[in-house]
Amino acid sequence: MQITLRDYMPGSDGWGYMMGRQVHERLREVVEDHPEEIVFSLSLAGIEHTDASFPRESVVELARSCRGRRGFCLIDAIDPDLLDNWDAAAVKREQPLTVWQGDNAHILGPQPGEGVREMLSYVLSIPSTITSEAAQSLHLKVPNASNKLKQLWHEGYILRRERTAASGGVEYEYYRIK
Amino acid sequence: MEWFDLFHSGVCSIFMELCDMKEVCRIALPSYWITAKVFEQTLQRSQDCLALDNMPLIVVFHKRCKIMVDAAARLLSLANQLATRNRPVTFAFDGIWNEAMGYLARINFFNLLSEQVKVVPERPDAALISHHQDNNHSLVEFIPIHPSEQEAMLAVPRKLTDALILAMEAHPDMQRLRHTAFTIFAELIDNIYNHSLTKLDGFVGLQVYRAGDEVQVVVSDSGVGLLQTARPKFPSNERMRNDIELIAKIFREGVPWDGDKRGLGLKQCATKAIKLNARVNVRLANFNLELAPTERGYQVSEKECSWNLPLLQGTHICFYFPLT
Repeated sequence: MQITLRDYMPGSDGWGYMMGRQVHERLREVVEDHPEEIVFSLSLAGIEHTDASFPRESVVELARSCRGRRGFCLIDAIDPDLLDNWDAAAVKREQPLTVWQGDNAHILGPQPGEGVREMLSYVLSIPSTITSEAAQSLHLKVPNASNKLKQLWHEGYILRRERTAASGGVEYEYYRIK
Repeated sequence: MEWFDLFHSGVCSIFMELCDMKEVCRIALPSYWITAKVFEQTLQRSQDCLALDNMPLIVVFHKRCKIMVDAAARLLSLANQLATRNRPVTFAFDGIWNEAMGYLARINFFNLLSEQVKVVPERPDAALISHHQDNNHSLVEFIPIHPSEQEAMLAVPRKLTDALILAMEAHPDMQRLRHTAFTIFAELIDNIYNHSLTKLDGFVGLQVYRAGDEVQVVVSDSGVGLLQTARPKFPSNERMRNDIELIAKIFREGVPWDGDKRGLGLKQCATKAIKLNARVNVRLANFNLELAPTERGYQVSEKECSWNLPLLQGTHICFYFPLT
């Protein structure tokens, strides 16, 4: 689901704790009103300035509270300098946010550890994957690939859903936040 | 300035009355530029009488006194704080045309000045002050910041940013500068809302000094003061640091977050301001501290610091942005 963040703000500048909390509440209502939606793409179109408090209290805090269950990413971030404060906000809350420019992804906030970086790049490059596929693509053993995917999900970089495996059991399908 | 000069100003009778007052604390602002540093030195010389809460205070402005915005901010805060303690305060402006009066009127000083402060010969006409508002690109007049009126303040960081950007028009990276400036102003104003616990209005203002090659931006509040807010947030071993060390640490490393995971945004401000090579002056209760940008981050510029100053409650920050 795409949300234009500017529509939930009083103007084109986002700043301060109070405005951040107000926008947070409005966004939370939208999220709760759409239980069927898992991924929310937040368009930054029309936003001219933000400080670090506003994104921290509005979007980053919402992403943190929904981590593992629902995902939030940023789109239409035309001005890279605008994202400096979003990065600082994501670092403060220890909550990664993916910024999409077409098919190119950029992670704001805490960066993935070296051990999972390649796996994250792989997941971001495809719509979804399962452990056996990822292991095969990256030449890893299945338990190792499983641990890496689980770690990325746990740290908020990607999402996962259960599905029925070919064997009839349950397996996780991991997917990017896009 | 001598009291004698005032008798030639055409408002003799009022000044006679002021002169007759024997038990008064007089502060004279002379006929040159009054910077924050000069203002503090002047206050320091009157330390003893300023400490006497019942003694009326008279601030005399020489007719050619030129007051800078960093000094004006402190003067305004001091007068309003004394007024809330029911201390009689009078501003006496010498001469038919007083330069300081003209400038203070222009920067909206009198609209923020407590009604309890007496102005001699008289307060400038409020309508005339309003008429000139927003007419000068080199100035953002004092804007009151009150915690309960945040919606009215939404455009303030943008206004300060626009004025700073306009002044720095030759800067090679304007867009980055714009975001940098916005962040500094927004975080500082947000601190007034969220941390100062101020009962009086805080305020912000900006003045471009082309001849001085700098822009001064003041952010003042009369709240509990930065150290009172920040010190309890540090672990017990850090709390024992002296005031200078703690302020420098706050600007370099930030304040540890509280239970709500919020700091004070000052590290963020400093990180941005140092990119613009801005000096930062911080006036707290009894001291004044200057931070200079260096390759190792902000360092205390000890020769610009002063101690044992008369009480000025709250936090008064001035950023000095070089124009070139």
